[in-house]
Amino acid sequence: MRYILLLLAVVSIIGSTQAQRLKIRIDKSEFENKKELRLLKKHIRKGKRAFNQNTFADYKQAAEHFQAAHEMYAKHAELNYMLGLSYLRALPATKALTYLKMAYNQNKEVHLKAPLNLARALHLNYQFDEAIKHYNEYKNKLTAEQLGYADQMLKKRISECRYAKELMADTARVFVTSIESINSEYDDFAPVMPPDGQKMYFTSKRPYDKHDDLYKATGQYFENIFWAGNRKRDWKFNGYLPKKINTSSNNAVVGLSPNGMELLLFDGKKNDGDLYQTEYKKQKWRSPKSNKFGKINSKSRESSATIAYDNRTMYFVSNRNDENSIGGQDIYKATRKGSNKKWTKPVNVGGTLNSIYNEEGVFLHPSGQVLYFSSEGHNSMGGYDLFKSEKQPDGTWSTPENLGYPINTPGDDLFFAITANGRYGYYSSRGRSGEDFDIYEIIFLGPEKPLIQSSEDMLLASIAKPITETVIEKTVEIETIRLTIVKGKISDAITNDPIKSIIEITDNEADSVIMTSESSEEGEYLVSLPSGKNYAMTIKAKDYLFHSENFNIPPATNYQEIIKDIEMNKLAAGTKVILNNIFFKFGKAELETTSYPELHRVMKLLEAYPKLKIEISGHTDNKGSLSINKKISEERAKAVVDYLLAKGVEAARLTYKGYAYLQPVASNDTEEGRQRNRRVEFKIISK
Amino acid sequence: MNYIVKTINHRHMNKCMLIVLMLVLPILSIAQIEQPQLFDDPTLVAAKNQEAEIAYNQGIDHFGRGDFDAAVASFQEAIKYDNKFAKAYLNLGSTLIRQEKYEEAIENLTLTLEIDSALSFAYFNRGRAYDMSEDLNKAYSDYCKAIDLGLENANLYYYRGVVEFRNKKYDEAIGDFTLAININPEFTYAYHDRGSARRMVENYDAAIADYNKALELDPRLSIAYNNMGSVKRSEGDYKGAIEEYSLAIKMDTAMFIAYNNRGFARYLDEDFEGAIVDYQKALEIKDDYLYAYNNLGSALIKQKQYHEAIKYLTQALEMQPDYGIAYLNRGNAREMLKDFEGACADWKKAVENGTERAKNFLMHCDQN
Repeated sequence: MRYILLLLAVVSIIGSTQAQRLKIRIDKSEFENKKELRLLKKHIRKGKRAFNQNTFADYKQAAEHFQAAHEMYAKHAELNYMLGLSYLRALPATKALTYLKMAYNQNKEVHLKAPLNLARALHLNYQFDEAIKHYNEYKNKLTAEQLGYADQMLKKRISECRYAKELMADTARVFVTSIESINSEYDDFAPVMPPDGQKMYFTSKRPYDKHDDLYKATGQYFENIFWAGNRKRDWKFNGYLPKKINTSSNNAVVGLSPNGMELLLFDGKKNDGDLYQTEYKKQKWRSPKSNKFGKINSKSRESSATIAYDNRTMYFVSNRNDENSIGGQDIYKATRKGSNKKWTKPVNVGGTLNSIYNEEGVFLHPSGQVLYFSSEGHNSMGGYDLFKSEKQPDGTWSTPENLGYPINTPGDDLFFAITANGRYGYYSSRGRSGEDFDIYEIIFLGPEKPLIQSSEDMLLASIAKPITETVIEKTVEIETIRLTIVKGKISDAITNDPIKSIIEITDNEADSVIMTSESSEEGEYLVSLPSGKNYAMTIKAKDYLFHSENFNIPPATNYQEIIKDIEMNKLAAGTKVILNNIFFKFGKAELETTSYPELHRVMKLLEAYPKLKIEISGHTDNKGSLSINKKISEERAKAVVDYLLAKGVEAARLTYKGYAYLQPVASNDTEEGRQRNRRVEFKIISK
Repeated sequence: MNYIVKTINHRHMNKCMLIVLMLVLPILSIAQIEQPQLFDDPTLVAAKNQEAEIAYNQGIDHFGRGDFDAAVASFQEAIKYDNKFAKAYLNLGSTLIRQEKYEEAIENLTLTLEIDSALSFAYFNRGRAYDMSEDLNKAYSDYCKAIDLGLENANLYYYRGVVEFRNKKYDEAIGDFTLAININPEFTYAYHDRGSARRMVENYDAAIADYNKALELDPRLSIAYNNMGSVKRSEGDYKGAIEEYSLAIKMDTAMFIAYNNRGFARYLDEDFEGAIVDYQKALEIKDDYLYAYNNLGSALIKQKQYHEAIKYLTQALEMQPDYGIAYLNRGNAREMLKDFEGACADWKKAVENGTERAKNFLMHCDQN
């Protein structure tokens, strides 16, 4: 029954509580008032007891008691050291620094680890040069035997300080803002969202309703899942997920399917933590299941996960100790052949992305081209930092790039998600303000926008008329995301009732289905289409004629969102469907090979309904004479019929006709309208 | 501010020749001119029945005293007596140029040429009148005719070079400035302007050599320092540019253009504080100096003083509402204040007003 948020980075580098225990001796002679002495002793005793419990909540409590004791006995180095140490674990880091520095200045030998803890507090407070000085001081105090593991840890901390200085010298052009409307006074973290960024699911340790039990391991409330809606950049807290999802133990969300209809969950009850999946069906979240993750879940901990836009590739984080493990929690990849198939055996993505330290919070951009994740390794400035890696032309991932300051901090920065347009990022960070994890919104401003200066010179001596020169700063590369999001609602053409449908995306050039997705019960669907392909989007639903749309997206097409509501027609005599993915050679009645996937769909329909008789009709725009258009439209309809005949369809089931421009579906006054009018239709004659 | 420097060499001219020269070349006196004159000495007028010549000579006297109105009246009287008196038309036209009455000047100089089409100076002066009234094509045509008629005059080549420069025909301009220098090797402006033409074709070394020669001839020529600074700025030598602009300011403390330019060089050298001081100084000298408002706004953006920046950029836009560059810059400042709607509105206005670069910034404008 573990938390997803098992982040005690501060503790892990400082060592166990036992190793830090310190005797606080009080000089009784300094207290004439015995009552005051008793109170002081009581606070110290309670502080020590809480400190020894080794949970965030107890460190917080310890800090309260030691703080009260400090107000009465401020000059005591040991007391101040314990107070500083409690703050170092419970935060805020500013208070940790105040008291650890005070203790150190009062007695440099207050504890062997005093320079280390002071260094860490300085590190967390962005005082990197001083931190390096004290990390080195601690290192020099240790014997060769004591140094052991600490040597590697200290080298890492010192590197983190150096990386931090470099990252802060060249800050990222972003706005990072706490989302006050959804954050609470408890830990709020792990935001996930569909590519259009209209919803957010997140995990929080806040109490609600009857969920107010404490988790013993931390003294904090259990993790549960909540959600929020987004309207014009204004997040609105919408409450918690139902009991089926938010059970009585810890429940955390770690990912979302590409169409936003399935949540990926973490459950710490089994195997040190496994992945589960829950589906939104008939307006309800269903019970989480792990059956599709048979080869994903292991006896070790599997935490965050992300699924690619094609629903066939998955990246997740696991601390399994297989032969390819790089160290700590690593990122793994698994594939499958279809959206309803099981995932294959995962493979470690290797040492470019995985470091010898922990990775966590993996997120694949809907384009499939950029992988974001958190890592304690690489060039982290401390704790977990957010990184990104881009897919290279050969399919490998590039060296991870730190997202930089002010996104990353010396503390933990985790669980990143970004909208498909690349404008808004969301993640959780601890200690940025206050003590707990909060969810932050990042607005990416892109490369610095050049300013333009105006200057002028008097270039001609005899003319007192300046000649103006406009000087522009160097050009910058404008970051673009080459992705199209298509979303909308699928409904019955007559009743307007929503239809749950299957959405199939076909690469027309390759004649292969590259992705299948489903709409919700409310008919809502969302698919991501990376630029550079001619796609057929086919909508299929029981008892309905299939509907086809064509999206020919050239490689240089920048990010766009297309809203396409689909009206489906029942399979009945007289029903028509436009075959949007039938293509002819220019000015000819010869089929392009990219038409074959669409023709195969017609074939399958005729196979499924052996009594079906259909008419294929050709249509044109109004350019040219009626006779010429009639001829070409008929020839094109015939070409489709000929193809079907060649594939074995009985001739008696097929008729064809050319209507030229006599049955337009759009105005012929615009190119867009004319293009819609140039089409092949399919009509059911009898069922 | 008048940068026209009059450098007439009087040594080889007698008084009469000077009077004629002033009439014939009323606005050409920018360099040494030593060639013989084409016109009759006005004292050749005979005693009897020559009222036209008498009036003509009186016109020359009035002109010499700077009484242009009286000169015009006398030349008109001379024409009344003799309506074929080409020189009277020529001198009337020349005087009208001095009075900045270019249309009338062109009419009279045209009449001169109708009477005597070989009078090359009439073409030269009419060219000047066209030039001064910004009809560069006609000016160029007249300068060419004067040259075709054999007039070997440094100023003529110089002015034709200036027209070519203004028509962005920099190579031709360099050729004419060189011819002017060949005729008059101490022609300061020809060196200077050839330097500018060479700068425009990005022959920076030659441009610097020409500016240096101009400064050798006239060490106080502030525009040469300024322009040399701009060449160095174009070459990325910002510190060198700052030195040159500083010399320009030393020679002419009211040269707001040099302050603006020095500010820009400092901006490029990432001395934004220094840039701000210079732009403010330019505005102290000329409080409606549009470019300084824009540039001050940009430098303030670099200093993260976005509200102040917006104030100055808005002032620039109030002065010139189609100043696309200032819209782009103000949009950038607004973006940094998270006013994305305002930023997008400004970038759209920038594009509408010809600053195409702002198009790239509109990518997320419908997604905020």
